[in-house]
Amino acid sequence: MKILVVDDSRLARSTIIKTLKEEIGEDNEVIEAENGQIAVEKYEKDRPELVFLDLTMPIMDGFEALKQIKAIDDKAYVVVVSADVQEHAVEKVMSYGAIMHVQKPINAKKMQEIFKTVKFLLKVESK
Amino acid sequence: MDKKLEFNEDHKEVLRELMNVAYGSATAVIAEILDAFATLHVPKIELFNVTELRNYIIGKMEDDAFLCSQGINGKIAGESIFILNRSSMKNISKYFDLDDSATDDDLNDIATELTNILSSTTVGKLAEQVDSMVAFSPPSVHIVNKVSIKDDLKMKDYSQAIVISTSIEFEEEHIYGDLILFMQDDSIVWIKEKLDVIIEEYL
Repeated sequence: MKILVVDDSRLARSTIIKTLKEEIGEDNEVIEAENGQIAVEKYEKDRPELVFLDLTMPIMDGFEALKQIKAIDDKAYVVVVSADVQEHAVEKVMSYGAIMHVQKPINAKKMQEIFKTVKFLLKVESK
Repeated sequence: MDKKLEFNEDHKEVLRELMNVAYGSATAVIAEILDAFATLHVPKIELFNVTELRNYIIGKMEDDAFLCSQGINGKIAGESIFILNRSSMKNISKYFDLDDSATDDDLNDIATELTNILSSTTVGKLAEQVDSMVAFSPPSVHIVNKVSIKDDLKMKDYSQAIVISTSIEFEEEHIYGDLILFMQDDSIVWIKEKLDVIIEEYL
């Protein structure tokens, strides 16, 4: 699976990638982006099947990036991974079309849940 | 400064993300209390010695400000300080149905409660991320100005301070605050070891 990991923090990106490798496997192709603008550009170019997206980032935040990614592909699978856990923020990203909102930091259990959801959605979509 | 107490760029980068996560949780709690949506910004993390910190605070102060402090005990031992200018404090008070006639006592009460939530949630979440726990003493608040800050901000027990500078926008009301974390030297050495483990594993 081609996966785009978007966060301005190296630590946050590295945590997601490491957990991904440990819990899901090594055979995913991971692309990284350090802000929303780069994420949108990489999404358009590389068309990843899954996006991990932070919200609070410089240049372009995750809310705007999510809107633009969904405008490129309304079927994009975007999982928001953020420290912003306000009810309003969660409602906003879900209304913009994210498939999940997960509180930082990501861990093994959360990663397993994400992939359970992604597999379920892929199964539904293929029917 | 003693080498043992110095943070390198990797330490700062990891600390920035840990504080970002911690501050996000704290903001969510405050937003829930105020029943308002806060826009989070990427916090700036800076490390200052005593003189640098005084100059930094004076540079950001308006006429007077509410200085709220709270003691921290545990592996992360020290003190947290939350500084809010009077204009931000007035803006916050609107969420508590107080108008321009709010007294300093009213504003002190609100500042105490907000500091308690903000600093205990932020520092508690930071501690949790480095596998530790902390306890807090009750917060205290007093009003300071650019002159009195030199005496009011007691930093003699600390070599340096971690300043998390961010603005929180609550819908139309702009509220700016700086959360400052003073750690005792032993705690700085301890947290640096924890940061080194994270750096080794992730960066």
